[in-house]
Amino acid sequence: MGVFQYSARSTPLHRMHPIVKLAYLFLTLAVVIFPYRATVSDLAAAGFWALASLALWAVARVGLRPLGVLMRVLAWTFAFIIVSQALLYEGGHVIFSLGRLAFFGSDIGTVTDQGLFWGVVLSLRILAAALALPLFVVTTSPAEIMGALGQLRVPAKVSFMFVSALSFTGLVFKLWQEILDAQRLRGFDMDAMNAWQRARRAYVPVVTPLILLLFRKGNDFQIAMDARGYAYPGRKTPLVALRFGAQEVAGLAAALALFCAFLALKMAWV
Amino acid sequence: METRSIWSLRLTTFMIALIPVAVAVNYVGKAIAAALKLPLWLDSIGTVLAAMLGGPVVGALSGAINNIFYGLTADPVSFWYAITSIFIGLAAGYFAYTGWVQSTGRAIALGLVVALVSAVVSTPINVILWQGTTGNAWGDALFTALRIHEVPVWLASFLDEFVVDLPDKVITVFVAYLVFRGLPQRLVAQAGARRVQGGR
Repeated sequence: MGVFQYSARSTPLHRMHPIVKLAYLFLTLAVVIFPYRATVSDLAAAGFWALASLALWAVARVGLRPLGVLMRVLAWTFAFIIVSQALLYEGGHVIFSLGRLAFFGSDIGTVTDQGLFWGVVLSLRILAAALALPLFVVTTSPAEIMGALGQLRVPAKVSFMFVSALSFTGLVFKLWQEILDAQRLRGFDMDAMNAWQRARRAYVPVVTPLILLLFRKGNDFQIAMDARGYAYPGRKTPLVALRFGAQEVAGLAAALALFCAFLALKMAWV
Repeated sequence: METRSIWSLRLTTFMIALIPVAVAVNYVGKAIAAALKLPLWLDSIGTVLAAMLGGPVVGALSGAINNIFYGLTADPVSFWYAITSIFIGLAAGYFAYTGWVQSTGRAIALGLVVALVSAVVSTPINVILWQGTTGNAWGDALFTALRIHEVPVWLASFLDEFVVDLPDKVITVFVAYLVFRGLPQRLVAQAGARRVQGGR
């Protein structure tokens, strides 16, 4: 499982005001929440949004590695959706039969074209979201996120918690590796164990210190906050001053144009 | 000592520092479930733990931030289940503060309550987004079987979710309870000593 983290670059997407990127994110949520059917128009619309987001990945120049991690995670989900829909969808022409597969008194051994098609539509719908949502975190620095959420009147404490969560999850990887190395020095090599051995006895000696260390880091974090006067009730100033200019208006217009194109595609065919 | 309502929105620095820790603990649970290929999610351990320590508001905030964070960084599907996580945090926090983490038996009962809350809140999301399925092979097999027997989609979807949530949330609450009991007394006292001495 991979976690997307901010990648510092100087691209139009990195320079864009975070509120524009948030607008794209919310349009993506609207794209996914729309009711879908097994039609060519819905396939084209979901595919269009996925392609648009893929183009933005190219603009952001954050490399193919995070995208590869995402695809590895999603490949199983897509395979499950397509296979289950192909076998379970009621209606459509039979493409081939696996023989009679009894399942609670019904035969689910036939693969239909409509079922396969519906599986692909559902997968594309998830892909459209999966490609668009991480763009925000990958192209926006924590300071910019804080600034943008502040402009949106999100309480400073809530945006601070969100940004802190970003850094803490990065810390999990670091601590995990340090604990693994320490346990290996004690002769406890998790990498040398098979899946059953790992499940039975590998995780407790790693997870217990990890959770305790996370709480200790949380305690250090609280002391640092108190020492810097975080609880002081005055108004907090942002580290980065964000301006909403012509580039942002153009970006917002482009996002809305993409959404209109999505809607047009969705209604183009039946 | 100042008495603080469990529904108070005033967050101390301890609570603010607790939420990123909760998100990280959730992440560890999710990573282990994925590594062991368990048919469970185990992605709410931190949320329940934060709720036990900080109350329903901290639990709800932790759940919401956790799912928004996951949605943006690791698993886009998580985004829509922020509502479920908020309710898990609220339920776990409220019941923890009313004395449901005093013993192992009560903690397991709390797990059942959290499973029920989670299934009830997740069902409409599953129906709207995924036509009732959850993406979990065991739950979806039951869903298919029920739909073949013409059980209404809402009921089939609820049972699909509940059959997964039941073991998942009972284990989640039990693990969170074990961690909670194992935490240093100083840390628990910092969150609110009343709970340890018998609840409200």
